[in-house]
Amino acid sequence: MKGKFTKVSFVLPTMILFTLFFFFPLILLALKSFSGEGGFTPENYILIVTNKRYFQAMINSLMLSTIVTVTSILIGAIIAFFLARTDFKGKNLFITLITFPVSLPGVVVGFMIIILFGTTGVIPMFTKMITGEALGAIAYTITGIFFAYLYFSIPKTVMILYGAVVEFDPRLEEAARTVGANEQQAIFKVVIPTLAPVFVSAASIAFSTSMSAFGTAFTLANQFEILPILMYTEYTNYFNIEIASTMAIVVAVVSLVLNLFSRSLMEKG
Amino acid sequence: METYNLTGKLLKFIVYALILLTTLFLTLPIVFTILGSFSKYWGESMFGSGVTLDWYKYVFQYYGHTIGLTLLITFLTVLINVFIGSMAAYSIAMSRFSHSKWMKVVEELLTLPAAVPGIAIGLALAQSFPVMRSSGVLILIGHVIFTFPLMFRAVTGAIRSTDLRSIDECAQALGAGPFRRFFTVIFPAIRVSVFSGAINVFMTSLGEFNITFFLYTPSLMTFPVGMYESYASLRIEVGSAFTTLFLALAIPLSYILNRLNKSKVK
Amino acid sequence: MKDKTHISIRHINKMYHDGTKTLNDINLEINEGEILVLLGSSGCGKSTLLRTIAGLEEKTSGEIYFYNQEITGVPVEKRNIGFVFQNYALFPTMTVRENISFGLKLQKLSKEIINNRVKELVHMMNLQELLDKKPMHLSGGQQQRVAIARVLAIKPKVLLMDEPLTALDAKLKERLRIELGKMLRKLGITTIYVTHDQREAMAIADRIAIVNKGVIEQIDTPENIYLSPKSAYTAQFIGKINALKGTIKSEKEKDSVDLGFIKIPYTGIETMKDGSEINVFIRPEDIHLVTKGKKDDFKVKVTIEQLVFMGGFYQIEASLGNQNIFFEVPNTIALKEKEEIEITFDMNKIIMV
Repeated sequence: MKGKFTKVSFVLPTMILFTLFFFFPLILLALKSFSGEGGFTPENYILIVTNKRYFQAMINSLMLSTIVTVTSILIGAIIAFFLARTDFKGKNLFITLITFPVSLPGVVVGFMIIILFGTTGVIPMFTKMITGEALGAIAYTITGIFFAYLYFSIPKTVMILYGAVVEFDPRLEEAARTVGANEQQAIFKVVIPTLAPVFVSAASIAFSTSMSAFGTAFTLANQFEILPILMYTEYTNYFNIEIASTMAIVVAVVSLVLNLFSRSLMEKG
Repeated sequence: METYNLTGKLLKFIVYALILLTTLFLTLPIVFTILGSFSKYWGESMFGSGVTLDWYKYVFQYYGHTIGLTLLITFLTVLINVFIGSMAAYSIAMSRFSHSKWMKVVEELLTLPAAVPGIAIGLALAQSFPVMRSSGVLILIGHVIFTFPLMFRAVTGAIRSTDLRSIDECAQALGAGPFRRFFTVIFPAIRVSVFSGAINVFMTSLGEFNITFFLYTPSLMTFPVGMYESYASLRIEVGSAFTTLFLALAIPLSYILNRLNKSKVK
Repeated sequence: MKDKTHISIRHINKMYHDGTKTLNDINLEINEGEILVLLGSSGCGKSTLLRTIAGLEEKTSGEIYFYNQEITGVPVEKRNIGFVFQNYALFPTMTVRENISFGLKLQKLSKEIINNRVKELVHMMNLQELLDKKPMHLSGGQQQRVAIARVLAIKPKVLLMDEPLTALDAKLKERLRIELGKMLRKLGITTIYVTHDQREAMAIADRIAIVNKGVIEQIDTPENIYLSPKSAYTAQFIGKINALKGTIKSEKEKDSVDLGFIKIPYTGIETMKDGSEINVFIRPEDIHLVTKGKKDDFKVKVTIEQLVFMGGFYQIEASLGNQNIFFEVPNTIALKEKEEIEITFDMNKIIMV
C-alpha cells in the first residue's frame, strides 16, 4: 500500500500541472475557436477557408512546408547515406557540425539567413568583391524564408535518416546481391522500401515543424504571410481572439496528427 | 561499363558538391556571426574598419536584464523538471503495469507538449491565465510544460533500457529498504540520463521563443526575445554580438550533451 | 563422389591496413557436388573466406577459380552463387512468396515459370502455410527454410552457407543438422558450409577443412580428421580427447616418449630431436580398464579423482603423475573415488603430434 501511495503522489504534481496549464488552456483555446456571435459555431473555420487573406496564409504555409520537406528529405537522405557508408577523418566532428542547428531557436536561424543573404550579408558582399555587383541579397524574400526553413529542417532529417541507415542490416543488401541484384537494384528494391517508414516519419516531423515555425519567418518579416504569423497579427493587432485561436488550433491539429503518426510508424519498426 | 563509370563519377561529384555546399551553408553563418560581432563596421569589409567590443557593451547595457531573467527561468525550469520529471518517470516506468494500455496513454499524454506547437501553447496560456502574465510565473510554467517530455523520456528510457524494475525487485528481495535502494540502485542507474535530460531542458528553455513571445512583457524580456528585437530594429553588429553570447552558452552545452549521449550508447 | 574440381582457391591472403592477416595463404580445391565444411572457432577467418569467395569481401592477393574461370572482379550478382546468412537476412517488407521469387523476378522470367519454381521450392521446404506471411511472423527454423528456398530458387552453381544453424536452439539444431545434410546431398550442388560446431561438421561434411587463425590446418574426411589429426589444434577441436605432454628420448633404434609416469615408443611421423616436447593425445574411448585374462602390452595404475554417474556409463577423471585423463567405464562396474585402478591404452590409436 505504501508503494501505491508513493507511486501516485510522485505523478500527482505533474498531473496537476498538466491539467491546469496544458490540457485546460488548450481545451479553452479549442472552445474559443468554436465561439462566435451566436455561441458555439464553426464559422471561424469556415472563415479561414473563405476569407482570401486567411486562406492564402494557409496555402502559403502548406506550400512552404511541402517544398521544404521534400527538399530537406532529399538532401538529408543523400547526406545520411553518404555518412553511413563512408568513413573519413573528422566524421564525428562533421556530424556534430551538421546537427548543431537543431538546437538553435527559430529567431537565430532567421538571423543566420540575414548574415548570409541580408543587404550586407556575406553572399552579397562576397559577390560584390568578385563581380562588382552585390547579388543574392534575398534574406527578406520568399527564397530567404525557404533557405531559413531548410536551415533547421536539413539537420533534423539528417539525424533521423542517419540513425536508420546506420542501423540498417547490411546483410539485407548483401542477400539481394547474392540472388542477382546489382548495387542499384539492391538499393531501390530492398534498402529504400525497408527504410520507407523512416522516410515517412522524417517527412512528417519536418512538415509539422515547418507548419508550426514562427520565430524564423517573424524575424524575416515579409509580405509572404504564413498561418502562424497571421495568427499573431490577428491576436496582437486586432484582438481577434476567436480567429487567432482557430488558426492556432489548425496548426496544432496538423502538428499533433503528424507527430502521433510518426511515433506510431517508428514504434512498429 | 565505360558509360557507367562516367555517370557514376558525375553522380559522385554532385553528391560531394551537395554535401560541401550544405555544410558551408550551415556552418558559415555561425562563423561570420561570431566574427562580425567584433567588427567595427560590418558593412564594408568586415574587419576593415577595426575590431571592437562596443557592440557587446551595447548588448549588456540595454539587454543585460534579459540575461538574468533568462538564466533564472531556465534554472528554475531545469530544477522543477528534474524533480517532477524523474518522479513521474519513476512512478510510471517502474510500475508493474508500465506496459499496460493505460500507462501507455498516460505516457502519450505527458509527452504531448512536444507535439504541440509553441505558439498554440503560448496563446492558450496567455488566454487562460492573463493575470499570471505580469509576474512571469506563466512564462516559467510554459517552459516547464514544454520541456517536460525531454526529461521524462530521458529517465523512462534509462529505467527501461537497464530493466531497472527487475534489478530493484532483486534488491528488494535481498532485503534492501526503499531509501537504500534509491541511493545504491536507482539513482546511479538514472543519474546520467537525468543529467543529460537536464542539459537538454536547459538548452531548450534557454532558446525558447514561440511560447515566451506570447507571454512576455517589456519588463519581462528573455534572451531570445531580446535577440529578436535586436534583429528587427538594430544594427547587424548588435545582433551578431547578441547571438554570439547565446552561442557561447549553446555550443559548449551541445558539446557536453553529445559526449553524454555517446557514452550512453557505449 | 565426382572428382572434377569445381572451385579452386589459390594463395588467398587477406590483410587489413594495420597488418593483421585474416587469411594466410589459403589453398583449397573443392570437387563438383562436394560438401566442404570450413570448421573453426570464432574469429578464425572461416566466414571471411566464405564471403571472399562470394565476392562480398575483397582479398588482398590470390586467385579464385570457378571451373577454370578466375572470378576476381566478377561482381557478386554475376557469380551465380547462393548465400545463406547466419541471421537469414530475409527482406522484412516482403512476404515469404516475394522473398523466394525476388531473385527470379530479377531474371525477368515469365510469371508462369516463376510460379512453378516457387511451388517447387515451397513443396521442398514445406512452406505451404507460410507463403503470405512476413518474416517477422516466422520462427527461426521457418525463416531458415525460407532463406534456403530463396537461395535455391535461382538454381545457383555454388551454395555458400554461413553458420545457418547457429542461431537456432539446441534441439532444433540437432534435428535440422541431419535433415540439412540429407537435403544437401540430394541436391548435389557444390557447397561450402561454415560452422564452429564440430558435430555439425561431422554430420554434414564430405570433407572438413579445419581453419585456425586464418590458416587451414588440415583438409580431410571427417573420419580421418577424427582418427588421424595432424596438429594439436585439430586433435583438440574435434571430439573429446586427452592431452598429455611428454619428452622425446632418442634411443638407438626407436625413439620413445617419456610421459613422466611411463615411457612409450614414439609413433609420430616427424623426426624429433632428443629432449623436445611432444603432445600425446588419446581419445577417452581408447582407454579401458585392464580385464583379467587379457594380456595388455601397456598397463598403468591411476587414481580415480572423480566419478560421475552418467546413466549408461561412469565418467571418470583420473590422475597419473601430475596429469589428468578422462575416460568412460560401463555402469556395471563398481568403483569408488580415490580407488586405484589399472588401465590400458589402445596403442594403435595414440596420436603424437
